[in-house]
Amino acid sequence: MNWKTIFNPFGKFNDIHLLIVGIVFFILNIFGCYYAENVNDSIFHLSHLEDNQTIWDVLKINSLSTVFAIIVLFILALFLNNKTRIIDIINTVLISNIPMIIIMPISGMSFLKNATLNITKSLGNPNQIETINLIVVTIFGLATLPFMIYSFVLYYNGFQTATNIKKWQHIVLFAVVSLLLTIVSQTIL
Amino acid sequence: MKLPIICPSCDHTLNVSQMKCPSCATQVNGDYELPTLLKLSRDDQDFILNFFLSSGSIKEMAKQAELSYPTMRNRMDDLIEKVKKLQN
Repeated sequence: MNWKTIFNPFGKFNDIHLLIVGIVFFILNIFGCYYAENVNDSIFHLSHLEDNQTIWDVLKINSLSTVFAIIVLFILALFLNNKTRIIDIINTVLISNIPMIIIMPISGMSFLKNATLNITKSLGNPNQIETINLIVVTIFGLATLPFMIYSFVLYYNGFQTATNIKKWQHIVLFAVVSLLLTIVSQTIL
Repeated sequence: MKLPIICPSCDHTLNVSQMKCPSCATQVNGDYELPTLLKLSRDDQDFILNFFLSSGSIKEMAKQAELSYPTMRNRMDDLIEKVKKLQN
């Protein structure tokens, strides 16, 4: 496996294999989200799980946000290239989420939760924020960044491979639609 | 030996000016344009030949090349665009 394959597995691997891996990680993500008390209300975005919400709510919201993203991206893909197959769009959405799923359990660790809670409580009075909590949250934020970038790279490469877009206008349209998709998904879910 | 199709001086597509019979050494001179498929690069010609030998199955070609189906289909779409440009 070379760098090209790591950053664009969609160019090399069989679509059925990618789909199986994507579905396995989607299921793992439901448990990961429940453990970390988070929920995927849009692709690339996590919201805090309310106290009265169960694992079924995680399943419902995660599924809805994923299906919504697939439908919107597939309509866009057909507009850009009518030969696009839905399986390639499903794989793009599922596989690009994997780096975020991998780091999910870290965000559920008690020391990080406590540090975040401490900072959130002290927002009105920044002098009360403990340095150690700031350091913990900053380190986690920095550690998350490469995974997030990798996730975006997979997302773009997956869509590019599925649709064969090359023109900058199409790339900008894809970015705008992705942004709107995220905002709308977070609003309705 | 590889057939040169691009002029090394100005990058224009080359024409054929002479053909020779390897059996009796008869020579034909003229100014003949290359057929569209011969104007393509060697890689592109090989791709089309493989497509033909795979009975027109991109899926089969992807399997043989150990690449995904959309990668092969994208290459085919790019090639179709290239051939259309050459025909115009």
